[in-house]
Amino acid sequence: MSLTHLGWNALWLYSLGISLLGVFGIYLGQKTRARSLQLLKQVEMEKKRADKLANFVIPIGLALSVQNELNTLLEKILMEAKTLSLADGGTLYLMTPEKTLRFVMVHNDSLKIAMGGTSGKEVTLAPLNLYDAAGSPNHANIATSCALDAKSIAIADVYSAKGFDFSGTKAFDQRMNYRTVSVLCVPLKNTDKTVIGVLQLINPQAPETKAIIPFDEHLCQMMDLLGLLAAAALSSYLKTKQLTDQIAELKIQIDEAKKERQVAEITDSDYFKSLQSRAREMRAKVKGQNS
Amino acid sequence: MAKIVSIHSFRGGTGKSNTTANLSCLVALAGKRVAVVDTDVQSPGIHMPFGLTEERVEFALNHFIWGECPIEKAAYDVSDALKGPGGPIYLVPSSMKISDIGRILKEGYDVRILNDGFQALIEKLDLDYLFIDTHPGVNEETLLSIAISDTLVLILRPDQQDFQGTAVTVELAKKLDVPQMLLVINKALPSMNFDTLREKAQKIYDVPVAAVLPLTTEMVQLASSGMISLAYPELEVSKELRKVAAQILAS
Repeated sequence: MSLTHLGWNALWLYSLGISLLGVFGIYLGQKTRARSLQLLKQVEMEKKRADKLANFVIPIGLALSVQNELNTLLEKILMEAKTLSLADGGTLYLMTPEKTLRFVMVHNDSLKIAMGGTSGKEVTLAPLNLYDAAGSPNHANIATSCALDAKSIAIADVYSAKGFDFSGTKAFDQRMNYRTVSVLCVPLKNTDKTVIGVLQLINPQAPETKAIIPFDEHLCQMMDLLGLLAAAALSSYLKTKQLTDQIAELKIQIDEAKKERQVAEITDSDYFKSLQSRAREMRAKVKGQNS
Repeated sequence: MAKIVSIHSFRGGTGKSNTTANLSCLVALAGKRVAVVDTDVQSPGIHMPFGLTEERVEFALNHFIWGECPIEKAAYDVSDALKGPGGPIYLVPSSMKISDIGRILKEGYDVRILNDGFQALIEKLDLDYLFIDTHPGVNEETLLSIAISDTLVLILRPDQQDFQGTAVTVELAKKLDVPQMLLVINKALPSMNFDTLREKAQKIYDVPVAAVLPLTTEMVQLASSGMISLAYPELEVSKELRKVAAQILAS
């Protein structure tokens, strides 16, 4: 092989090498760019999360903590959650000592439904049982399941969801000419992890298009935090009310036997007997003077 | 003839001295000649709301008891406290000096001297009303004050210990034939149902509850430095105090 031939081969190999390096470089560049974009997206999400925390969730929590009227507090919990999540509707349940979830508020903007809270309209829906007659936990209902496991549950579309009984929701939709799509249930948990209620939200709408969207992971995290703050405000209110009710029901109990004993210790003394006699004389004298 | 009004409570801290100061001023503002005697020689306090300072006091009740002065010399005109026409109102303070308190507690005294002092004061100052701010609890002095009183105002807080102690005092007062007894429930939390509290107390003691005084921020802030009924006449607590004063005047 001549030198020229070798030279051309070397040049060809060199060009191939450069090309391969170039391609690899482009590949690496693209990967890096994709990774950077991913990181940027993550940073933006975290920033959004922090913004939402600072500008919405924490102020809502503070506002809830100063409510001193139950209906106003319950209403604020549901309304703020609806606003934060852009939900069309929401239900607030409170846990009863009988282990049922009592409906305390139901709202739906599209259907113009407002029950409970300060609306003046009582919610007459039957409470949901956490346990069936046999004592088995009721995981068929999304709200009771949320309460039982003390975990949030997000469903993208109730009509295609598996594992829950949405027959009640579907019957409601048919009756009201509505379409429930996405649902989020958030437990209201105390610091000792006791569930004192459940917040249920439906059909969040995209702000621009008003199209119904699922509850995304980011929003679910916000709602979990709001659930904790709402539970804290509600617990604090209920504890204060219990104490206030106890104080208002103040009992006056006199230990009669003790009283008689203490009175006798004094009235049996010579001093008291002398005082009693002098007091009678003095009052008789005054009475005589007045008459 | 002068009326003697004793203000008593079974335990300390019920607001007895403050209430005495307020009631005596309200009665004075109705145009009556009033004197207040602080018989709480152990822990004198009523001079505070009247603004009578230690520097101004040359003779106190202690000195009268020791025979060092006639009682009227220990009576100070505190009508400035009324901040308006009425009175006059005089205060016979107990000595604020630790040495005087120590001496009187150590030596004790014949309580009959107090009664003589009260009568002399009524005569010398031509009084319409003599208010006795008693020491808390039941002892010879307080029993004497109760025995000579035309009106006995019992101050209690809405707590079990005060309820129990007041039951004893009410029983003793009834045995001493006090013509008029009034209960004043003081420092009631605003969250309490005042009507229910009043009803329950009246039923248990068979004594009228003249007032239920709420615990207010203004009272805590004012502490003993002034008269709440004069500083904040629009408050609920001031209106209630005026009702008590009216009942004292009407007796």
